Amino acid sequence: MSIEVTNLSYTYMPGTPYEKVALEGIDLKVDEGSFIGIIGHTGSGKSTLIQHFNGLLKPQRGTIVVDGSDIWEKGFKRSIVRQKVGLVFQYPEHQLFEETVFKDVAFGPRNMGLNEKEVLKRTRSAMKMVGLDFDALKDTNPFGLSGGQRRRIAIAGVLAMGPKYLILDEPTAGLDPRGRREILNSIRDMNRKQGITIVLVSHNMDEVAWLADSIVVMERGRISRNGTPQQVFDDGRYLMDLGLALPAMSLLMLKLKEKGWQVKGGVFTVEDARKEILKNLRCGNDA
Amino acid sequence: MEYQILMENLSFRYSEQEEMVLKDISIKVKQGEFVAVIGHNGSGKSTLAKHINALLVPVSGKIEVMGMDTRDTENVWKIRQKIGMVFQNPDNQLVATIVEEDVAFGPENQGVPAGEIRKRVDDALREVGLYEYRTHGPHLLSGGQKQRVAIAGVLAMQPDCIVLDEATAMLDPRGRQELMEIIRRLNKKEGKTIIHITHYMEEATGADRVLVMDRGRIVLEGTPSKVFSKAARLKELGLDVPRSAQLAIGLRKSGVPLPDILNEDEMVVELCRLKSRT
Repeated sequence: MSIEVTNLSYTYMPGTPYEKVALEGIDLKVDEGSFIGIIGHTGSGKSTLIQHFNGLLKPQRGTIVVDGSDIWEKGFKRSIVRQKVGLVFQYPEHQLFEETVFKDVAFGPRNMGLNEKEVLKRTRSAMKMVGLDFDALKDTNPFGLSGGQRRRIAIAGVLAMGPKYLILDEPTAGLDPRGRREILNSIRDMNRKQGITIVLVSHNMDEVAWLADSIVVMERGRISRNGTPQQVFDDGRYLMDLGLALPAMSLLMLKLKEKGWQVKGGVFTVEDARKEILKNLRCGNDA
Repeated sequence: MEYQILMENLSFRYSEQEEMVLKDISIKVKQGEFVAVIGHNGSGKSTLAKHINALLVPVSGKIEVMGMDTRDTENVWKIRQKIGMVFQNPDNQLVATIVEEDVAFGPENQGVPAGEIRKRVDDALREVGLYEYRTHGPHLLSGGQKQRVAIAGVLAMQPDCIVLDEATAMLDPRGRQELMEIIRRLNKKEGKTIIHITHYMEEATGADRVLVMDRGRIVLEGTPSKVFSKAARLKELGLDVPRSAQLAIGLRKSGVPLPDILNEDEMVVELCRLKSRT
C-alpha cells in the first residue's frame, strides 16, 4: 500500500500574466509505514505537492494513486481519501473553533457519522497520541491554552479521523524548544508505534535528519534529490547553494572537510561528529 | 543617564486574582547593547517586552526608559518614539496597502514634515533592502520581507532601541538570516540598542548578553558562552543548547581541551588550532 504520484504537474493561474509553474513532472512513492521528509526553499512547490496527496488540488497532468486507486478516476469517492490521508497545515491551531477541546477533536469523527461511543474512543486515543491529558483537558476551552497545546489539539483533530497517512506542513514552526521536542516525539511515536506513515515538510534540517528514513529535496517544482539523510546531507554544498540550511553538525563537517580534514560524509548527530573529530585528532597529520 | 533601560524590582500581573507573571525583575541595559532574551512559552518574555514601551506598566517596582518612568502618562508618547517594537506575526502589523505608506505611518502620526517623511521612508527602506519594493502591496511580499517592512516602519520613527518579540519565529531559514543580518548591522553600525526575544538559541549566541527567563524571573544571565555552557540547566528549563556547544562539552569529556564554543565557525577555528599542534 502506498501513495503514488506519477508525472504530476501543476501551474497556478495558467493563461494569465500571473501564471506560475508550481510542480513539473513529479514522481514520488510514499510507502506505507515510512517516514519521509520534504525540504526545499519557500516557493519550491512543497505545499502544492502535499495538497495533491489527499485530493485538495486536482492534478493538471499526472496521477495520484492512493492504496491502488486513482483518486481522480470517475466515480471514486474522494471523501475516503481525506480520511485516509490526514493533512495538517501550517499553524493548524488557527483552525480551532469549538468551545471545548473534546468538541474540537471530535468534530472530524462526528462528521464521518460515527456513533458517540466510537467518537469518544477515537478522541481519547488521538489526544493520547499527541501527549494531551484527556480527562484534564476535554472540557477546557482551547483558546485559553498555550500555543504548543493548541497545536497538539489541532493535530489530534486530524488523528481522530484515523488516517493511515499523515502529512504535516511545518508542525514545529514558531514553538519553543520544549514544544518542538514534544510534538516531534509524538510524531515519531505515531510512526514507530502506531505504524502511521508520515510525510514531514520542514525547514528545520536537524529535525528532518533526526526523524526521516528518506528525504526529498524540492527545487523549483521538481524533485532534485531523493535519498537517505546520510546521502542527502553528504552533499552539503549542493543544499547550501540552493539556499537551504544544513543540520548544524553536517555544516561543521563540511567546513572541516574544506580545511582538509578526513571526515566521512553524512554525519549529522552530535555523537557521530564527536567520534569523527576524535578519530581525526588522534591519528594526527600522518593518518 | 547611565542606563537606557532600568528595571528595579519590577513585578506584574494581568489581574488581581492572578499570580504575578513577572516577579521582582531588575535589569539594566546600556545604549548600544544587544541583549537576547530566551525562555520557554509562558515564561514572561513578551510581558517583559511590553513594559519597555509602556504597553504595560508594573504593578510594583519600576522601569525607567531613558530616564523616564513609564508609569507617568506624560512620558508614554516620548517613550514610544524612542522604543520601536516588532512582533511575531508579519501579517498582523502592516496597516497600509502600499509598502512606503506603511513605513510612513509612524512619522506621519508624529507630525513630521512631508519632505522629511519622504527622506526617512527612503532611508529606512534602503536600510532593510526593500527600496525597490516601495510601491508594492505588502501582501505580495514574503514573510521575511514583511518583517523587514515592519522594521523599516520602526526605523522611520528614529528610535534608539528596537525590541523584537519573536520576530523571526514565523520565518523560513533564509528570511531569518536576512533579518538577523539587518538587526546586527543596526546594532553595530547605527548603535541601536537591541532587545531580541527568540526561541532560536543560535540567534542568541551573537548577543552581548543573554537573559534566561523562567516563571517570571530571570534565572540565568551572562555572556552567550557563559549561559550556553550550562547545558544541563538549560535542558531543565525546557531550552536547547546549540549543537556545537553540546559537541564542545562532549569533546571536553573525551579529554579534548576546548573552550566554550557557540557555533560551527568557532569550532572549526579551535579544532584546526588543536590539530596543527599534533
